[in-house]
Amino acid sequence: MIAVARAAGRTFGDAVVLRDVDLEVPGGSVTGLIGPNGGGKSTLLLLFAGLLTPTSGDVTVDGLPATRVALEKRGTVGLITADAGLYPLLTGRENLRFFGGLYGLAANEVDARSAPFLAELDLSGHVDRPVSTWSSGMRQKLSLARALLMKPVLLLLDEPTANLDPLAAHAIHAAVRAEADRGTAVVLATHDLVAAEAICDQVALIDGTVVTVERFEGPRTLPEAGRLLALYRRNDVGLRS
Amino acid sequence: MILHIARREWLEQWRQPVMLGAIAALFGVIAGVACLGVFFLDRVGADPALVRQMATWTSVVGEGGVGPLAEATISVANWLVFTQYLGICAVLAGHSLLHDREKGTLPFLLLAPVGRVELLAGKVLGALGPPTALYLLVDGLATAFLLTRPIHVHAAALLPPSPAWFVAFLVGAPAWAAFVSTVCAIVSSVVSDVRTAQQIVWLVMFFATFLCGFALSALLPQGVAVEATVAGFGLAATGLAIWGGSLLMRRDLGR
Repeated sequence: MIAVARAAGRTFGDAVVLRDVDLEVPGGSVTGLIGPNGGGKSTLLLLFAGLLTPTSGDVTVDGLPATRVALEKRGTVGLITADAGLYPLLTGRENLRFFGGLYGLAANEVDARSAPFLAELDLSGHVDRPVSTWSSGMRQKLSLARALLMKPVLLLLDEPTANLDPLAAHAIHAAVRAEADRGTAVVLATHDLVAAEAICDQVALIDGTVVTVERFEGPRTLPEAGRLLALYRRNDVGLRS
Repeated sequence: MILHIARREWLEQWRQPVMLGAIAALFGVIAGVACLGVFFLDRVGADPALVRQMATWTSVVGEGGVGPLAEATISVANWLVFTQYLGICAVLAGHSLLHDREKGTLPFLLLAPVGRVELLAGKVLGALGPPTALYLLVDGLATAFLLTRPIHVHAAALLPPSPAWFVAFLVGAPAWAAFVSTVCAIVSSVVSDVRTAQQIVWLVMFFATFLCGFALSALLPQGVAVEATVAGFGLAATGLAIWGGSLLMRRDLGR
């Protein structure tokens, strides 16, 4: 198991956001987190990222307490949040170089590593423009490219397709599924139940704790031939996003 | 790593020419007012009739001519220059981490293998860079101009080539600017509510820069040893603030 939560809980002041969470995230799979707003999905992702400490129980990633992973196993965890988290006055390439540099990557190394992702995500032609001129879909794709830069073992996504048009959302989901197929453990918090059912190997219903875990058998693929998605493609709508 | 973080701050500031222009203009206004004041005193000092007339307006101008007034003017100008520089650095540093929180980049900084000391020092250095360059340029030019005016001899201790002034201008002010900036950066990162953080940054900026600027300018006549001690305290305080701040900036900042 890549990421494990054992009886994990988190409180903020008097508010108990998560309690007694038990969840195992295997490599090469997508684990979906679904549930109501305020149910604790984002908090659980932050616990896995090591950005929050559990107030009870344990959260481990790759065998280490999650809070120690960032410094002791650099690049193990990749993160994508609902707002892309990029510097708007910098170009896409400058953003990637800056964040790659935080992990000790030289500029040319960042360029070489990111080139395939940028091509796959249709960003190659835009990467030298300031991010402030990009659409939200393009920013989210760049955020995904940044998360993959360090070849993470665990990829955490917090509603990555919120507010994106269907084509951009489809591209993100397809890339996430492909990453899991390459062996990465993926945790995806989402309200998009259709996409969750299509690409997740297991889905945990979270409402203050793990209410239940639903497992799906067989290969997971995102439907390519939805009629309305085809309508977008046929009319070249949203191709820049 | 500190330089890597600071360079990104500089790059973003470089892409905000209006902001850099505004900072340069602010430095120019204060330096310009000081230069105009000294220029005016030069004119008055050269005319005994004007000196006599001024002596009827203010007791500062008397038997010593306009010398005491020049000393007071340059002293106030020094205080304004130091306070203004510290204040600008503090605001930029305070908003540096707030900017990361607002743009959603803070979790990605915290997720990276970067120590809190490096992160804080990089942010402070990033905030200090452009205003310090403009401060040295604009206020340095103004000082050079003042040195060409005859009146400056009356305030020799408050201007170069007084070693105390060099220490205050080149070391003391940047050291205390780093301290105040560090405090503002810490506040902006640990206070959970962005609005409260902004308010505290402004309060710290106002009072801390007022006091630090006063200490730097008022102690100039005490000589180089005292100014060097003030600067030393500033550097030590900055080091302590960065160390203490790094302890406060735990991983829970990702909330």
